[in-house]
Amino acid sequence: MDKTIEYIIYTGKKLVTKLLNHSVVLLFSLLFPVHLFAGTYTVETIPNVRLTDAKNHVSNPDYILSSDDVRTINMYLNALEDSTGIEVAVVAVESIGYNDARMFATELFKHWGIGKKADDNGLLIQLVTEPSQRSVVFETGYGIEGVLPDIICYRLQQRYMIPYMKQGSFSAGMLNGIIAVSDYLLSSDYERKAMTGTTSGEGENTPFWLFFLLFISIFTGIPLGILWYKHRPRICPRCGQKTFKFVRRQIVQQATYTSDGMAVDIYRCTNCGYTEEKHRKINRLKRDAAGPVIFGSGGGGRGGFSGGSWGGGRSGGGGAISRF
Amino acid sequence: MSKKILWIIIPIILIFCLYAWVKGLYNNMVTQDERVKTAWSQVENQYQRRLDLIPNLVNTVKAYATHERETLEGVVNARSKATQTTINPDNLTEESIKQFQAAQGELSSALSRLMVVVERYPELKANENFKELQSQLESTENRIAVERMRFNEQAQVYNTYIRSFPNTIFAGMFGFYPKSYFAADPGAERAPVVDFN
Repeated sequence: MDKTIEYIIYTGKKLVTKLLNHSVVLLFSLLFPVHLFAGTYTVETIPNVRLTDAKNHVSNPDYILSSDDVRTINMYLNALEDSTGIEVAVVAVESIGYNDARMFATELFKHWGIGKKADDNGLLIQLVTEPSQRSVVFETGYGIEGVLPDIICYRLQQRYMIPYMKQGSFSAGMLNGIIAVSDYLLSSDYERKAMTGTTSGEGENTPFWLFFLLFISIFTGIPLGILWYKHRPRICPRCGQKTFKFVRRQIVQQATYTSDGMAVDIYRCTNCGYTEEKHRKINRLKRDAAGPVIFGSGGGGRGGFSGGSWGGGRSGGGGAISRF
Repeated sequence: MSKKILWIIIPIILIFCLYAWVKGLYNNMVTQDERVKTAWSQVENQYQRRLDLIPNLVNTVKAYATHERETLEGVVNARSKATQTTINPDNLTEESIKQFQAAQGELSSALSRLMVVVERYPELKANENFKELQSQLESTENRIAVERMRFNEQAQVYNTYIRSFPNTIFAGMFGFYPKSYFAADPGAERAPVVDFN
């Protein structure tokens, strides 16, 4: 008797969780009946593959791209994200209905929030294969409009993707385009020129060496200044000459974790030999609870579970479209 | 004695509560107002981007389409007019937005006339430089559309905030007035006419 009741409760629970799991999907398919026609997608129904696998950048629901190419694309895009933080999403679908491909990309970018929130460094690459809408769209986040201006997007599309895609090999065109984009983003200005014919067009022209100089001067200037401040000649209290200098520091007692230490700074006048000693306190040593942490736990959050999401970046309709 | 203290404390608490409430309202209004202004500056940025593209475009077309002086002049004139029409973001009234939109709309239609003319010059259409300019112009139009939409969204949030009760009582007192929206472009409601003659 008890067992039957237990069994009924058990099946009931199972049913409820199953229903809950499916209700979201059910709701969506009720709200967006378009979903039923295979191959026609709305912004909401394009599968956001990143949610289940943080290392997967390619949404390929109609299997337009071959699985080998998808694997290679992911390899490139993961490497790109690891070294630059730029999040690239690739979408390849047959149809988006009567939506304008350009606006669709903007909407999808916003819906997914591609790119890190603070940097808006996302890039969406969207391929639609339906003949009337056949196009490749790059949608750039606000943060990478500088490195990837519209005109560069257009040139990359024209040069590396369209020749393949015109012949119907979408998968090869996409792969080639993504390799080009990732090469472009990872290469130097000089190499970029070879790839697209100019340096990063609208990109900034501020001479880099100026920043470099500033950087160097700050980083060497500050320690030098401190050193000079310590060793600068002072006025000797006995002979009045400006020859009273810091000689050395003598540690009387080392600081420990439980007590302060003590040191003596010796100052001597090079003119008359007058010597003065100043007592200095050495701060007690501090024990860090976690010990020395050199690398932050930044990667930890993503390593724990395989699912992920885009970082919440925004775009403003930048990028380019190539119809073919 | 204790009653007297109570009579002092209660008004103080009440005044403090009132202060906190009004302060919250006011600061929210300022935040919303600033957001609308930021959205507006984005709109202007994108329009400016288009203005910057035009001289280059005109020069490229000029080299090929030598007989289209009138159309090109139309674009140049519309551009200079649009350059002069700017709005102070503090003054986003219906009238000023309408004016701005009219100037930019004129430029849009001059540009589309130019694009129609261009169809007659296959050499120009095949020109790499022209193709790139066209793609840039296209993506600029897209950016304009996006930023206009975002401006309208932000303006709507702001307007809803300052016009809902009881905020509406204070909004006028603090000098916050409803902002105007971008209307659809005049002519956009009509379907484009395709003429094969």
